[in-house]
Amino acid sequence: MTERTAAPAAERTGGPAAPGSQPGFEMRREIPATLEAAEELIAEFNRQCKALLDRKSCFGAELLVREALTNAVAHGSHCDAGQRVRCCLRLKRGRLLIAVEDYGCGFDWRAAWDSQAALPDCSGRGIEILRKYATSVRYNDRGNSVVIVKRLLQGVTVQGAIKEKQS
Amino acid sequence: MIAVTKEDNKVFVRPEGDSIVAASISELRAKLREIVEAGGREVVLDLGEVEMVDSCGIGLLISAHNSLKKAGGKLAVIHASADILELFHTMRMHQHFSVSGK
Repeated sequence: MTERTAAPAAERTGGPAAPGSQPGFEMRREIPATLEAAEELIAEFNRQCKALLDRKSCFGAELLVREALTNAVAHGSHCDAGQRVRCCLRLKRGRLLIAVEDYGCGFDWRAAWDSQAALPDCSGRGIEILRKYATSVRYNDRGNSVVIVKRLLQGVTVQGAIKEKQS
Repeated sequence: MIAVTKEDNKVFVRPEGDSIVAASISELRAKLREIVEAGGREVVLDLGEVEMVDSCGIGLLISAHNSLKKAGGKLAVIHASADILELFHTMRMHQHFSVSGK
């Protein structure tokens, strides 16, 4: 797999597309690694989505953003407000891109990818949600950066750089 | 805020926030624990106001189900939105406890 990073930017940029262009938006943010900061970002993302997408698409988009940010904040950064999480959220031509990067030591996504939480387990379902709701998911080697794509206007056909999804 | 009402042997729990997610889960976790410790055995979680549940929320429901089952009780989820219902089925929650929609 090719190593990829989250294409973040330190400054706040983005917003709705210009009038007459394809509806979409791009948000680039760097936030403190806290769940409260993640919630603020998600609220802003939801406002943008609700103006452009149907309810079902909004739900799936929000769920993916939540899982990616929660992983980076809670697992990657241990909710340490002194750490930062960078992300890029972009909706363009019916394709949602979620790129999130933290400064933690990453995790072994190769071992986690194919796992499925046993029925009584209380945790371990975040990656399963990504697997089932995303069109593609790609981690860098270290596992501290993820790029998720969701095709919102067409069928889900491919599951990332890792393997084909059985749709 | 979480509304709790009792009816016969059932305890109805209705979160009044719109999400059960990592950032807001602690209150519901504490409330469910309190109910189980007080002897509640049939807990009905009313998701009528809830629009989003993430993997942490799912984990909490599994944990509550496990605690209730161990004590001889059970958990049921009612009034889930269409999106949450689909999520729960996708994640096989309906194999643990009863899940019904609005």
